[in-house]
Amino acid sequence: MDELDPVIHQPTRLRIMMLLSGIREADFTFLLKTLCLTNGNLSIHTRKLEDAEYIETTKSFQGRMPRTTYRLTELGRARLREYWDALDAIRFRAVPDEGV
Amino acid sequence: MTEQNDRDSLRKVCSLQEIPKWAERYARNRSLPVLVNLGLTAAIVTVCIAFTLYAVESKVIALMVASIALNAVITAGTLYLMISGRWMAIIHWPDRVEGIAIPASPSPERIRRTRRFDWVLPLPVIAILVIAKVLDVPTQYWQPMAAIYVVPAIVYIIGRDGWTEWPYLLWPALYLQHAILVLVGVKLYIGVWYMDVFFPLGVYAVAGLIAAHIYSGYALRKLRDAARQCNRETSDNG
Repeated sequence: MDELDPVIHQPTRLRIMMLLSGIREADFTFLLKTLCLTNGNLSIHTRKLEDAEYIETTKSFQGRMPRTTYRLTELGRARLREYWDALDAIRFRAVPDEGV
Repeated sequence: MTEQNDRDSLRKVCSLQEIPKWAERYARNRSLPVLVNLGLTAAIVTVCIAFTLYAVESKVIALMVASIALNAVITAGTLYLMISGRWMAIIHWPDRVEGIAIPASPSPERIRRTRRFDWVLPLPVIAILVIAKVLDVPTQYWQPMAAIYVVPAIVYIIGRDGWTEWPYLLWPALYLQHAILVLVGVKLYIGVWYMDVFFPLGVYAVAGLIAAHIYSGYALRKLRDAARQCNRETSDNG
């Protein structure tokens, strides 16, 4: 499979997916600060990932503070693996052209 | 999506693949809430004990009454904070700055399996202390005797779930070093067996937590570097 998933291929969404793939879950603040995004930007991209069912969102309260956490779904994990497989395939094809 | 775009995306592969690794290391070593919890508890207990001892030694009735009142107020205040959930809010104040990342936990089956016999873990320590008492071993050697079991037991506790990381190993390593120093004649004991055996255990546990906290800070910097480098590369690509 050489076609890259356009939902994951977008750089910000790819970074969100990669970050979530290393842990069980992260909250909005952690993604915001670590990936150096704006509130709006992060909201838009997490919404797209949620619509594709690659991540799941949980809204709760910690004391009086609202808290939104995100975690990668099994589908998201599988799609991310396929994405890297596809990228590896492209890389393999690209090697002769780059003279490596 | 053109072939050129695909090739451009290859440039950011390296820094991207660093992201999950450092995210996991950060989350697994994040011990700051535990340290805040321990620090707060220690501060409260220290204030209570210090004031009570001072009042008892002064033999002034008014001070003793004041110490009882202070202990009652502090206990009531602490209970209120715990029941109202504010204690947890205080402990987790660093989360408001950094955010929260929770490491992937081992499966519940694995946790059940590895922790089934946890109640047995303290028993050999008691057996060692009883043997030391029966054999009339000088109290300064009780800690090295206990270390024979305690060090591998802590290493087992740290590694059993595959959840924690190497900075926590500073805890058993320091306890072992303490035992060796006592054996070679360094005076690291006060002659009260429970203080000599258990106090270093607590102190070195805090040292392990601090080491984990420092490493989690390093991991967070590496994670942010990887994430931002990848962001820059993307911007360079237009």
